[in-house]
Parts: sequence; C-alpha cells; structure tokens
Amino acid sequence: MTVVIILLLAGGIFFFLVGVAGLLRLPDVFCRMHATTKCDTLGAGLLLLALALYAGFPSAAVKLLLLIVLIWIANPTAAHVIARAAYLQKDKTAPGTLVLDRRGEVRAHD
Amino acid sequence: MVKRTPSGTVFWGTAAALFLFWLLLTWRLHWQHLVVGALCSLAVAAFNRELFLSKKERPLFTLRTAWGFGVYLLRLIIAVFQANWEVAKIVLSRRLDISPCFVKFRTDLCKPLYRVILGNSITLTPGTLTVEIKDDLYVVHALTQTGADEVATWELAKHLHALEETENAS
Repeated sequence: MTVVIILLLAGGIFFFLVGVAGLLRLPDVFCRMHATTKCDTLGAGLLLLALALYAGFPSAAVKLLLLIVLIWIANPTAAHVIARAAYLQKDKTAPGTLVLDRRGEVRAHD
Repeated sequence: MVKRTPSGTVFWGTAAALFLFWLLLTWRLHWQHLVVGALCSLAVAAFNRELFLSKKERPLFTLRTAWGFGVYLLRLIIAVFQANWEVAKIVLSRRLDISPCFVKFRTDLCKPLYRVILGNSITLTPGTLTVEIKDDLYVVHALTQTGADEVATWELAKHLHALEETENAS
C-alpha cells in the first residue's frame, strides 16, 4: 500500500513539475493554460488520491474524493473563463498560430 | 429574470440531496450534527429557490443514462491520462515542438448541458482548450495541429451525442 501511495505522490508531483515547466517555457496565454490545467487535473487528482488512500477509507477519504470531483468540475470552467477573456480581448498569440476552420465540414452524425 | 415557482418535490429533493452531502462531510450520526445539518439544508434550499432547474433543463435520470455517463467518465479519464502524457513529452522536449492553432467547428449536440459537458471535457483534456462556445459553434485552442484535427471529430463527442439520443428517445 505504501508503495502505491508513494507512486501516486511521485506521479502527482511529476505532473505539477511539468505544469510549471510548461508555464515558464510556452509562448502565449493559451499555450500556458494548457500546461496549468494539466497540473490541476492529473497532478492534484493523483496527490489527493494518494492522500485519500493514506487517510484510510471512511471519513477523510470521502472528503478528499469530493475535492477531486470539485476540482475536475471547477478547473476547466475557470480555464475556459480565462481563455475566453483573453480571446475576446484579442490577446497576443504566439507567432505562427493558425486558425483552422472546420465549420463547413461534414459533421459526425449528419 | 423569470420568477419561478418550483414544486414542493423539487424543494424537498434538493434539501435531501444537500442533507446527504452534509452527512458525507461530517460523517457522524450524533443527533446534534443531524439537527444542524437538516436545518442548514432546508435553509439553503429555501434561499436558492429561484435557482432550481425546471423540468425541461434537468437531465433525465434513468439507469441507462447513468450507465452511459459512467462509461463516458471512464473514457474521459483514460483520454486525460493519454493526452497528459503527450503534453508532458512536448513540454519536456528540448525543442518545444508545438504548432498552436485555433480550430472552429460545429457540434450536433442540442441541449446546453451536453454542450457544457463537451466544452469542459475538451478543456479537461490537456492540449485542447475551449475558448468560446456560441450556440453550436466551438472555438478550441490546441497546442498541436494534430490535436486540433482530432478534437473536431472526437470519439467522446460522438459518445455524448449517442447519450443525448437515448435521453430524447426515452
């Protein structure tokens, strides 16, 4: 059990590390949002899962699992709000950013 | 805003759900906890009367839709793991191999709830980020161009569409 917990913690820290590296290295707001949403979803998810296993099942684990659910709902919503604000303000995008228009193509279920 | 007068069952149902949530958080069955919890959930339900969803907005809850959502969540988690790995490789590679782009596409999902779920799923999956949803038009930012090509014809979007169909049929 300890091994599983350590692996989960290591995985969570790894993804947070990647998130920070991405935040520093990527060029514009949108690309950086990719890095930060990632460390929240998997990084925080794995860390909280490790804590839930460590705390033992009933009382504390339920709260931690509820926290995971909350983060997985709130995090993309917040990311969307930030990205939308940047998009509507016409924030600077990285050079070479393409706009692909797939509106005219056949939809999956037509 | 339209003033709504929700029925009593919705009120009691909300209060009961809140009370269940309270029980999960306190995890004690002492009578003091129960009384305070019951009072609080009734008060919260009463204060938020105007925010209750009408019957049309609520998703239909049947065994089939619940099962469908369970499968969807599982597939989403798998997709998140895979995409996370892809983005981690890009971020940690020496020459940042990205081709950022916006992709615009239309969805055939009809209900707002399903559109929100799709938008949030896209954002949750690393490498793609929902920037704007306007009616059935999605503007998604992708870290790589292959990611952008995939998101417009996403497997999980088809899954959601099938779910919506079953809900409409039943």
